[in-house]
Amino acid sequence: MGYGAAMASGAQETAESFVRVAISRGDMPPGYRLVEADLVARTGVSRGAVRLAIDALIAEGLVERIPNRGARVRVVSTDEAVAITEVRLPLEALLARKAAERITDAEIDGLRAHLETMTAAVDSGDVRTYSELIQQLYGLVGEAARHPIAADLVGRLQAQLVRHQFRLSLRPGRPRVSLAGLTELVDAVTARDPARAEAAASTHLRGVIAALSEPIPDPGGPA
Amino acid sequence: MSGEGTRLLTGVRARRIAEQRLREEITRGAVVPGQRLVEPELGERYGVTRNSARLALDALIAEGLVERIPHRGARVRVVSGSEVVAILECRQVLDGLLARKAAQNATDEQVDRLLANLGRLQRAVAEREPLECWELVQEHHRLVAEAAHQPLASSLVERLQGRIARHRFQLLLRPGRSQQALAELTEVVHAVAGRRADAAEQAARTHLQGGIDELLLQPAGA
Repeated sequence: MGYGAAMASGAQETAESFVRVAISRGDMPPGYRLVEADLVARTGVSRGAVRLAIDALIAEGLVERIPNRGARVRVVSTDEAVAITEVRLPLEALLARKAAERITDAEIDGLRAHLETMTAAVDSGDVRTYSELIQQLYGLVGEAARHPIAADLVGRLQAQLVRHQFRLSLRPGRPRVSLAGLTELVDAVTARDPARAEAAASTHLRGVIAALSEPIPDPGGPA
Repeated sequence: MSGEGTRLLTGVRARRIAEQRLREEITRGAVVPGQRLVEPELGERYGVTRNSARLALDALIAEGLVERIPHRGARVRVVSGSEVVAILECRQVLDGLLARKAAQNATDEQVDRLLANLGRLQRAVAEREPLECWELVQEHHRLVAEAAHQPLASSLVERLQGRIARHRFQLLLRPGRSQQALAELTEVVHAVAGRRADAAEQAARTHLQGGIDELLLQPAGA
C-alpha cells in the first residue's frame, strides 16, 4: 500500500490490482480483451469502479483502448521495455540501498531462503518459475526498503516488463547470468552494505538493458 | 467579489485555469495544508463554474495534493516531512537519469536553450528575484526533461512534483539557497553541454541532495 492508496477508492484499487497481478502473472497476455462485465463478476466490485480502474491502467500504459470495442492489454515493444528498464534501474538501486539500511534479521532469513529457491529453479531449468521468483525477489527487497513511494513507482513499471523478462530468461545461458547478478544483490543487502547493494542492482539491470537491446534469437517461434 | 453579470468560464479551459491557479497558490503558500477548499468559493475566485472547480479539485486529488474529507468537502493535503524526503529521493534518482539522458541525447538547440535559461537564472539570482528564480528553475527542469527524450521518467517526475512543490519553493526562499541552486544547476548544464553523462547524473543528484539535507536538518514549517 503506497500513498497512492489514498487517491483511489478501495473498489477501484481492488479491480486495478486484480488486473495488474493477472498481467504480471501472464494470465492476461498482450492483446487480452478486458471485458467490464467479466471483471465485475471476478472482482465483485461495481461496474463504475471497474471502469475507473481501466482508465487508470490506460493512463499507466498497461492497457489501451480499442475504438468501440473496450480495452485490451497493451503490447510493449522492445524499445519501450528498454526505456522502462532505464527508469526502473535507479529506482531499484534506491530500494536496494534503503533495504540494506533497513532490513530486519527475519527479512534477511527470508531473502536468503528465497535465493535458494531461485537457485534450485535455475538448476532444474524451470524457467517460468524462475521468472516469477525474480519478481518476488524485487518485491521482498522493496518491502525491506520501507520506501512506499519508490516501491509504488517500480510496481507500476514492473507489470509492463513481465513478458520481456520471461522471454529473456528463455535465452540459453541467461538464467545463470541473471542468477549471479541477483545473488550479488542479495549478498549485498543481507550484508547491510548500502553502497554495494545499490551498485549490485544497477549492474544487474544494466545487464538486463544490454540483453534486451541485443537482437533476439527467438527460440519459441512466434511470441 | 465578482459582481452580477460576471460570466463564469466553463469547460476544459476553465478546469485547467482553476487547476493551475490552485496549484500555484498551494505551491506559494497562499493556501496552506489543512485549509478547506470550498467549490463555490474557488469558482468565484477563479471566475469559473462550480463544476469546473470540482473537476480541478479531482485532478489535484489524483496527484495527492488535495484530499476529500467524507461529507465535508476537500482540503489541501498535509504532506509529512518523511513523505517529502521519500519523494525527493525518488526525484533525485529520476532527475539523475534525465540529466544523463540529456547529456547523451540533447540536440545542439536544446543545449543552447539550457545555457540561455542558465544565463537568465544568473541574472535573477543576482537581482534577488525569488519568484523569477523559481520559474527559471522549473524551466530548467522542463528543458532537461525535454532534451532527455525519456518521456516515462519525465511523467513520473511530473507526477511527484505536485506534492513537493510547496517545499521546493520554500526551500529556494531560504537565505543563500538560490545562489547554491544556481551553482548546482550550472554544473548540470555544463555537464550536459559537454556531453558528460556520468557528471550530469551526479550533478543533478547533488542538486536534489541539497534539498534533502536541509529538510532533514531543518524541517520545513507550515
